[in-house]
Amino acid sequence: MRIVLALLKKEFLQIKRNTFILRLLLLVPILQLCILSQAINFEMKNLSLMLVDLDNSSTSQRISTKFQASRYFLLQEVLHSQTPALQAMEDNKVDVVVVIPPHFEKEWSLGLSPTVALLADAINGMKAGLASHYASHILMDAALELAPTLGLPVGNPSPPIHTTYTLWYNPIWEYKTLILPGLLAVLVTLVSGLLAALNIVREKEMGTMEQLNVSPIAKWQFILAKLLPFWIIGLFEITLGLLVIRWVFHIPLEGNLLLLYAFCGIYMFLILALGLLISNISRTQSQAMFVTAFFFMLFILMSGVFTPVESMPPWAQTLNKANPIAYFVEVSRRILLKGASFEHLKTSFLTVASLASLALGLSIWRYKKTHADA
Amino acid sequence: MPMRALAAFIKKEFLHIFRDKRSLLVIFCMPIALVMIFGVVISTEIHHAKIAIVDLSDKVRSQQLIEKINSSGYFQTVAYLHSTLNLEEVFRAQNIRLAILIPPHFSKNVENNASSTLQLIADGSDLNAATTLIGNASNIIQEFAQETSVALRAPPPFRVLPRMHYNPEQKDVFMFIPGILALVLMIVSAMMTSITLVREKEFGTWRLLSSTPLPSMVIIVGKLIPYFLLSAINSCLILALATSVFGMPIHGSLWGLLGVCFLFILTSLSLGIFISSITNTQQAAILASMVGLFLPTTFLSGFIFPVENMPAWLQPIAHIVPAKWFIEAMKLMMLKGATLHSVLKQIYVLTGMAVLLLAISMRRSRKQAT
Repeated sequence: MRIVLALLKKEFLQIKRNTFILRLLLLVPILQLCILSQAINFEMKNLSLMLVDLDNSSTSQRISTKFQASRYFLLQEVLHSQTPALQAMEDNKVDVVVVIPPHFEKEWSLGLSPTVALLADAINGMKAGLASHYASHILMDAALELAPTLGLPVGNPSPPIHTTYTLWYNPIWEYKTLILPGLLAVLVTLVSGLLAALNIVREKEMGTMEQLNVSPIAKWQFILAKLLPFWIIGLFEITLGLLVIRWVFHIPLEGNLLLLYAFCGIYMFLILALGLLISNISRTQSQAMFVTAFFFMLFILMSGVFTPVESMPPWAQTLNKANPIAYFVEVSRRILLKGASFEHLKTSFLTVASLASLALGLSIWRYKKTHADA
Repeated sequence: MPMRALAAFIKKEFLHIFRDKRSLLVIFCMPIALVMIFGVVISTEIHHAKIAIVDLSDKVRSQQLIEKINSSGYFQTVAYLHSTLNLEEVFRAQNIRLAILIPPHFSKNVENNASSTLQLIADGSDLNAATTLIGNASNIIQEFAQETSVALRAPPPFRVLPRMHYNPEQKDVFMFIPGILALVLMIVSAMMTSITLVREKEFGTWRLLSSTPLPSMVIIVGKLIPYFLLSAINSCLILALATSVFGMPIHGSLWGLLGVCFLFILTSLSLGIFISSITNTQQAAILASMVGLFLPTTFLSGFIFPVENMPAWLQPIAHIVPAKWFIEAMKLMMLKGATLHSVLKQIYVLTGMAVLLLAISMRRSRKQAT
């Protein structure tokens, strides 16, 4: 134990002396949490819209006021020919173009069901889908409202079965509530994992590894001493991040925080052990960086932070069973937002704990004191 | 003479790269893995979502509805309740995404053509999933309503014909390909160059290089050319994958497109040079490029999250991310068939950024030398 303490002291001194890394470790994840969380927003507001009115009747004008009043769309201009509207779409100036055909009012009042074209810029498929959904809603509403003014009976009777919906755990449709814990996990994982991955290989490149190899230190003592400083810093960072989430973003943290910390503790072990494993088998820092960046990028993208895990194909969901970040996202959301207890999360805890011991065992085993291949 | 020296220097640099088989593997696997993930794994469709059904009616009609829901492929009922008492526990324990509440007298109401209201309770802790699931469930329920409804329907007042321009099948991958390209080029050109340049500084080999008769311009160019070539190969690889596997169109001219890619590689290389001029160790260079390049390119460039959705104070920050301009130009050229002429703005911005970064790093290194 004394040896581990001495090694720990050495590691902490090294971290303390490198002010650049220290600043980076403490400041950057919090700063990024504040900035990047603002960028993540799937809600579609201010979709810009142009109306091409080829009918010029009082009905088409009423429809244009309907669009003007909508909170989803920003009615940019009402034109009377299609070409400039399409040009505007090509120049990225407008998202949706609604075309009201000539003789629209007349055909409608005769019951000929004229066709209103709705052109959406579908490069962002999700956005286009939503935009055309909103726009057809507005048109259908307008149809019900304007029918009497044309002396027509109200069209569709309302369907006999209605649906209403509520959201539990996030009643105000707030994206930040679900994005922030996940983003915190991503940032802390990326920074501490990368630092761990660079650590041993740096000693190798600098030649200081030789000295450590010849000192009377057991393999496990070495790995543990390398791991613990980052573990403490990582947990400190998570605490800082949670405070920011609570007091800067005013998101209530409802669940059992102790349980969350217990999970974070195990999780950080797993991430750091993975980082050290990569560090042990790499020859240069740039190699360690590439391998870490590659795996962590896949972990992050498949973790469900940004897109639901359920929407992934079955093989990807199976692969996710070995994805640490996916566990973190799931467990943190269930604890913080749903107030889940240990009973509910037992399998996730056990899986992450066994993955952590596996990674730790592997990194101790792959640490070779002999100077052969490395 | 300088030409031959340059060639020798490039050969040395390539040897360095090829000796590190593992990094080389990552460089070429990364684009493939990313394209596959964004093309196949990430989608907005959800199948077999776990749901609970609270059936307070429990008669023929509600059974029919449940059958319809289960056979739709969108849902998988894992809990079947007759009261709302345990619903909260089911949400927590079985991690269901949605609960559908069928009210009492539902069956009777359907048969009498009276209206009834179903309640959907969604798990808001994953908002994207919740939105999609509510949409799916409402559609199924409306279909059921129309099948069972005996009321005659009047002809529609008018039809709405939605047309999806530039991406008729609304494939998400079309939106992501330019971003993947930006990310990979950024990693290979900016990160790798900054690391290799700082490495020479850290080990003191930079001194050795500068004491050779080669002018320092030749050394830098010699170091950059291999990474330029690797990046160029990577961009062709990604474009080939996107067009052949996912059927992404290239409406604009291919040469113009490659030209813009090469320009972006140059901008990234100058970013790499810039980072190497402000850091002294590989560790610092790696972390700086991770934080300063990788994260902004992923989050602020419009790669995944549209820039126009960002709050007003954040948009100027997004404008200084080079990838934002590159992604814009790529989308315009690939999907909208824009010519080089119509992306001149983006070209100017990228060129300006490269020149500015190079100028700053030249000044800094001159100061360090004296």
